[in-house]
Amino acid sequence: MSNTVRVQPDLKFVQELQQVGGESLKKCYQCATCSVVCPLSPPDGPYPRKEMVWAQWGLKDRLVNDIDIWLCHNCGTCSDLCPRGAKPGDLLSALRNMAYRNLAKPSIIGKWMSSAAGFPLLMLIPAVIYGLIWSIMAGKLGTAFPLFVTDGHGLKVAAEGAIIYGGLFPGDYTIDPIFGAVFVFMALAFAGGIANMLKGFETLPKTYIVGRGKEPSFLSCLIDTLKVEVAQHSRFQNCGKEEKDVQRFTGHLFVFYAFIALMVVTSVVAVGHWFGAFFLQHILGLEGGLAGLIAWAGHTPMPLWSPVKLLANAGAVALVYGLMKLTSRRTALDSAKSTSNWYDWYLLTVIWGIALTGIGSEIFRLIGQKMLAYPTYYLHLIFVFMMLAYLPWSKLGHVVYRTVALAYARKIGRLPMGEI
Amino acid sequence: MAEAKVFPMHTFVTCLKGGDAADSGLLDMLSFLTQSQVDAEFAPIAAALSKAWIYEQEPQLTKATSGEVAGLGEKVAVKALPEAAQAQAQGILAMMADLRAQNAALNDQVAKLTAEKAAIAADLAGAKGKLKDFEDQAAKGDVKLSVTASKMDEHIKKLEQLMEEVAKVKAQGVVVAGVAGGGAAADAGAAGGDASGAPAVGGEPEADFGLGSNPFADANW
Amino acid sequence: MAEKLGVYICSGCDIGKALEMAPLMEAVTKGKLAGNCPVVKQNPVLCSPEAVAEIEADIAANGLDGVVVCACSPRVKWDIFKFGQAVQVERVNLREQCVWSFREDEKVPGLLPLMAKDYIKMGVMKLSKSRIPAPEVPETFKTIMVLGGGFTGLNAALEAAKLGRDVVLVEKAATLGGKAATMYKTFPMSHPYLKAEDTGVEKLIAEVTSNAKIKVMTSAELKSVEGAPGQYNVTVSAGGEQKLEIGAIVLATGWVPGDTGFLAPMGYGSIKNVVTAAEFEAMAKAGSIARPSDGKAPASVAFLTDVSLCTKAVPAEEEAVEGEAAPAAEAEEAPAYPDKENAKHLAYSSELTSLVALKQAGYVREKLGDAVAFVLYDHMMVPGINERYYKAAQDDAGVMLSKATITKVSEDADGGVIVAAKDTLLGADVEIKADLVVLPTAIVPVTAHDATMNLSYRQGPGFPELELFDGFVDSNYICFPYETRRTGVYAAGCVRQPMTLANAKEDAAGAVLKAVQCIGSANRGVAVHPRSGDVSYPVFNFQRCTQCKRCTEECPFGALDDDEKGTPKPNPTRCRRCGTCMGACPERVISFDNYNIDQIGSMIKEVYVPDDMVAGGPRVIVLACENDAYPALDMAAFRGKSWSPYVRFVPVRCLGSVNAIWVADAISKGVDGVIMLGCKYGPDYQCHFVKGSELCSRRKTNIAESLGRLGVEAERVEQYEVSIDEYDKVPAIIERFMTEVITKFGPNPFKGY
Repeated sequence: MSNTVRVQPDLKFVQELQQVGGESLKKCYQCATCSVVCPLSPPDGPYPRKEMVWAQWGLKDRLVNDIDIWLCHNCGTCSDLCPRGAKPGDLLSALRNMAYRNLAKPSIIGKWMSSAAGFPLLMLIPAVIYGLIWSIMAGKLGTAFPLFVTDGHGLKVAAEGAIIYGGLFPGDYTIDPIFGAVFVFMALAFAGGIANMLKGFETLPKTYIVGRGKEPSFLSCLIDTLKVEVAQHSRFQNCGKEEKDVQRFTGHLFVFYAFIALMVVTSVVAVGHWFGAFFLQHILGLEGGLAGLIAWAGHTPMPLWSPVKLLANAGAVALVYGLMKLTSRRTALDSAKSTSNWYDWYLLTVIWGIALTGIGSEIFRLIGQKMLAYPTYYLHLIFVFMMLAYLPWSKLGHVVYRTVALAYARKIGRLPMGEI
Repeated sequence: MAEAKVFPMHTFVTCLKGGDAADSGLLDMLSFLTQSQVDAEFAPIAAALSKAWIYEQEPQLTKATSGEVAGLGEKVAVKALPEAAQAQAQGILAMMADLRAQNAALNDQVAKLTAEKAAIAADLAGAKGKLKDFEDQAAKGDVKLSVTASKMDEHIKKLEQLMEEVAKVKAQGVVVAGVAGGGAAADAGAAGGDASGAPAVGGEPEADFGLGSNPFADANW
Repeated sequence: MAEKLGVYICSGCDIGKALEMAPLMEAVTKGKLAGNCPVVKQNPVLCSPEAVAEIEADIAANGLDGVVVCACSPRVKWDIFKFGQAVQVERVNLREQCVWSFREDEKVPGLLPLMAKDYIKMGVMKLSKSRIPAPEVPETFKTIMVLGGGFTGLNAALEAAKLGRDVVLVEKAATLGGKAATMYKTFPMSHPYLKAEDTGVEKLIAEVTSNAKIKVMTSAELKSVEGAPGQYNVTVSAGGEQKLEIGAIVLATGWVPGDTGFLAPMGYGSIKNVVTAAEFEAMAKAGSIARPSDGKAPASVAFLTDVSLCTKAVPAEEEAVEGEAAPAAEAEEAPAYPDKENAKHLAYSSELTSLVALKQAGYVREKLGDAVAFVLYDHMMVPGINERYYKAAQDDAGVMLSKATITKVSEDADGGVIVAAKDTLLGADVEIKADLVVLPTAIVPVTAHDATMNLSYRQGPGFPELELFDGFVDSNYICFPYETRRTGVYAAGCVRQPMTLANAKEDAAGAVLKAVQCIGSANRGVAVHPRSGDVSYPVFNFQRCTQCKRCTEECPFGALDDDEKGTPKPNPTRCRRCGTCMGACPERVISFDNYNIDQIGSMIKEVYVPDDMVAGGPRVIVLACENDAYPALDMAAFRGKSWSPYVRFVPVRCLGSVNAIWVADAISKGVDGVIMLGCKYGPDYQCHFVKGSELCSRRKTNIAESLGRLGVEAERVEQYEVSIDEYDKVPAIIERFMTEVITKFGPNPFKGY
C-alpha cells in the first residue's frame, strides 16, 4: 500500500496566511509543545502542530479543509508556551479568518472585511442607505430632528412631542424591510458558506466509534452541539484555566447571553408588531384580549417597566460588561506570545458600537436630547447593519460555522457525543 | 471508564475478521484493549477476547463482511475492555505467559538431557573401544609391559633434562641483574646506556616489528 | 649524574598518620645509596615556605645537586618544589599512590611501610642516575612559509606578518583567493549573523600583496622540504627553482570538491537538472541561476542535504571498485599515493552542507523573485551562532525546511525533478517536485589525493596514516588542533577539517602561533609539543648501533633519517621526546640524560620482593604512562579508591618508551607480574604520541613469546588501556590482574634467586 503524498508547497498561500494573522508561523521548529499543552486537542491527530507543519509547507488544500481549526477555542496556551514564539494559536485564528474571508460569496465582501482599509467602505453602505432615508423623511416631515405626538394609529410632528425613532425611520417601510432583506442576504450567504465548508470536509477521515451504533444524523449532532457546546460553553470552559481564560470565558458568556436577550426583545417587538398589531388587529380586526396584549408587547417605545424593556436593558448591561472583559483581556495580551488581528478588532468595534449607540439612543431619547438622540440612533442602525449584513465574513460568523463544524465533527467521529 | 483510543480501520478489520499476520499496529490495539502486553503469540487469544467485547457493543458487526466494516470509516475509536473482562483477559494472558515460561524451561531441560545422553553415548562408545583395546592388549600382555617401561624411562629422562635446565637458568638469573643495572653497579663515568655488563648480542635483528633482538635469548640476561 | 642528594619526607596530608618517619629515613641512611644522600630529613609540611627555605639552605650548605621530595604527586605543587636549573628534583608520590590508595591485606601485616620504603628507594635510585640534559641550541631560520593562498592561507600570512615574522606565501594557482574567490557570498561573519555576506577575500588579497613582510609566490610548486623545524631548506619552483630557508610551515592547502560519482544514487549525472552546490555557487557567482536543461530560471529549487542514499551505497560500490581494480593493480604499479576520498567525505562535510543549503536557499530568494527553496535535511547542523542564521532562513516564507530521508530522485516528463522522501515532519511519505535540485558538494582535503608536502624525510613525503582521517591532516583535532605528525608543519583550514570561513580565520591564527612556538622552541633546544619545553633529547651510542633501522621506522614523527648504511640521523628539532626510539632499540643504545634504560631498570630492582609469596605477598610492577594512566591513578586515589598493596607504579613517558629489558629485569628479580598501563590505541587512539601504546602492545607479543620459552607464563605481562577520565576503572583493572594472573599462576618460578 503506497501512501505517498504529492505535496506542492504554495508560497503565495504561506504569505496570505502570514497576512491574515499567522505571521510567525515560519518560526515553528516542530517540537510539538503546542499539541501537548492544548487542553482540548484530541490524542488522535492532535492540533495545532500538524497545522503548523502544513502551513510551513504551504499545503493549502489540507488547511482550508481542516475541521480542527473549529475545535480550537483560542485560549492561547499553545502560543504562551511555544519556545520559538511561533504563535500556533494565532495561526489557527488566521485560518479561521481565511475561512470567514473565503467561504461565503460574494467574496468581495470577504476582501473588504479582511483589512482595516475596507472598513470605511463597509460603513458607507449602511450610512448611505440610512442617510437617504433620513434625508427623505426629513424632507417629508419638514425637519431632520422631529418630535412626535401620537395621532390615532400614526404619528404627528409636534414641537412639544417626544423623540420617537420610528417616526423618523418608519419601521414598516424602512427598518423592517431593509433588515429583512439583510437577513435573507445573510442567510443565503451562510447557506453557501456552509455548503462550501461541508464540501471541504468531505475528504476528512471518518472515525467509527465502537459502542455508538450507527453514525448519528446531522440533526442530532447539531442538537447535541447546541445543547453542550453552545448553551453551556462546555469546551470553551475547558479551554484554559488561568485568570485570563476565566475572564475570556465569562466575557464571552455574557456577550452571548446578552445577544440572546436582545434577540428575544427584537423577536417580541417583531412578533408584537407584525403578528399582533398588523396581522391580528389590522388584518383580522381582533381587538383587546390576547391580540391586544401581543400588540402592546411589541409596541415601541416601551414604558421602562415593561418586562421586555427590562430584558432589553439587562441585555445591554450584560453586553457592556462582557465587552469590557473581552476588551481588557485583548489589550492586555503579550504581543510576543499572541496578537490580535483585524478580525478581532472589527468585531469588538462593531459590537461596542451597537452597545454604546443602543444605550445612547435610549438615554438621549429619555432625556429628550433630539440633536444627540437621532444621530446616535442613526449610528446604531449603521452598526447593526454592519453586524448583520457582513456576519458571514466577520469573526462573528463562527456562531454559524463553528456550530456546523462541531456538529459535523460529531457526525464523523472526530468528537464524541454528549458532555466533554 | 478509560478513554477511547483511535486506531486505523485496517487494524480493526484484521482484529475482527482476521487477515495478515499480526502486525505491530494490531498488537498495539490488542495491548490497549486488554491493557496488557500482547505479543504475536498471544495475539489470537487477545483478539478473541477483544472481539467478544466489540461484538457485544456492536452486534451488527458480527454479520458484516470485512469490506462492510472497512466502509465504516478510516479510523476506529475503541475503549478498553471493561474491568472485569480486562482482569479475565489479563489472567488468561498471564497464565499463557507462565505456560510459555514452563515450556521454555522444559525445552531447555530436554535439550540438556539430550546433550547429556549424547555425551554418555559417546563416552560409552569410547569406553567400549578402550575395552576392546585392553582386551587386545591383554592378549599380548608382555608387549604392553615393555612399552610402558620404555615410556617411563623416556619421561624420567626428560624430567631430568628439564631440572638441569631450570637449575642452569636459576644460577644465571643472578648474573642477569648486571645487564640493565650494570651501569649502576659499575663505573659512573660511562653514559647511561653504556652499561659495562651489556650483553654481547647483535647482528641482524629479526625482521619482525617490535622486540627483535630477544633480551631473553641468550644465557646472560 | 646527581651525586649529592637531599631526601625530604613529608608527614603532612595523612602520610605522617599512616607511616612512622624514622624507619623511612633509615631506609635511605642505611641503604646502599646512603653515601649519595648527605641530607635526609622529615618535615610536617614540606610545601610550607619555611620547609622550602630549609631545602634551599641545605642545597647551598651541602652543594646538593638533587632533591628527592617524598610527599605528594608530581602533578601537584610542581611550582613549589623548583630549585633552579642546576638542581634536579625527583618527586616520590607517597601521598596519592601510597598512603591514600593503600588497602590492607589481613594475611600480610606491615605492608605500608614496605611500600613507602620501596618508593623512596626507587626515587633516590632514579635521581642518582639522572643527569641534566645539555641540549644543542641550533641557529634557526625565522621565516614562516604558508602553503596555500586561499582564505586560510591569506589570513595565516597576515597573522604571521602581524607577529613580525617574514612570510613566504606559496600558491599553486596563478591567483590568490582559492575557493573563497569562487563564492558569491558566505555565511554571516558579524552581528547580527542573519544574512550571507561578502567573503571579503579581495580585501584580504590586497592586504597581503601590499604587506612588505609577505613574499607572495603564485603559480608556484613545492618541490621539496629538507631538514627540520627551524632549519628547513625548501625548494619552490615558480618560473625557476628557488631555495628558501624556512623555520616552520603552515599548511593551508584547503580542499577540492568531492567526486560527483558518489552522488550518482541521487540522480547526479543521469538527471540534467540535478547539480551540485559547487555548480550552483558558480551560477550565483556568475550572476544567473538557470536550469541546465532549458536555461530557464527555476521556480523552485530543492536542496537535498540528506545523503544517506549515497553513503548507504558505499559497500556495494567499494566491492565493485575493488573487483575492477584488482586485475588493473596487478598490471600496473601501485599508485604512489593511495587516494583517500570516499563517500564519507559527504558526511564529514555535513555542517557546511547545512549552512550552504541555507545560504543557497537565500540566493534563490534573492535572485529569483517568487521562486521557492526547499531544504530537505537529515539534520540541520548549525552549531553556535549559526543557529541565528538558520532561524533567519526559517523565517523566510519562501524557504521550506523539513527533516526528510530522501528515498528517490527521479526525472519528470517536463524536465522537473521529483524528490521522494520518507520520515518527514508531515508523518507521511511525500513527493515534491522541483525545477532544480542541488546536491551537496563534499569537502575533500587536498591531502586525500596528494602527499602535498614533499618532505625529504626517511618515512616519506607526506603525513603518515592519513587514511585514519580519510585524508584530513589531523593528529587529534580535539586535544591538539593544528598539530600534524610532522613537527614544524601546522595545518589550518579545510585541509584539517571542513570549516566555515570564520573558523578558518581563527584556525589560521592558531596554526601561525604554533609555528611561532615551534621556531622559538627549536631555537632554545626544547621540545615543542606535547612535552613543551622539555630540554631532554635522545642520545645515540652509535658504536653499538647495529643499523637495524627499527628506531627510524618506528618514530611516530619521522624524526630520524638515516644514511645508506642505516645509521640513524637524529633531528632534535623534529623530536617530541616520547622515547619510542628508546623502547624500540634492541641494543639499548638510545637514552635520555634524565630518562634511560639503566635508570628505570635500576629503579625496578629497588623493589623489595619477598622470597615467599605466601608469607610476603606477590609483587607487581605497573609501568604507567604519565600522560593518562598516571593522572588517572592520582585521581582514583584522590577519590578514595584503593587497590592491592602489592603493586608498584613506575611512571614512563609513553608506553612506546618501554624497553623489553625492563620487563626482563622485573621478572628475573622475581616480580610476579608486569602491567603496562597506557592509552587507548587503534583508530580512535588517545596516545599523546600517537603510536606509543600500539607499538608497546606489539612488542608485548614478542616479550610474551620469550617468556613462554622460558617457562614463565606469558600472561604475567599484560597491557591495559585507560584514559585519563577512567580513574574509576583503575582499581578493577588491578584487581583483575591480581586475581586472574597472580592468584591463578602463583609465584614467579624465578623468585628467590
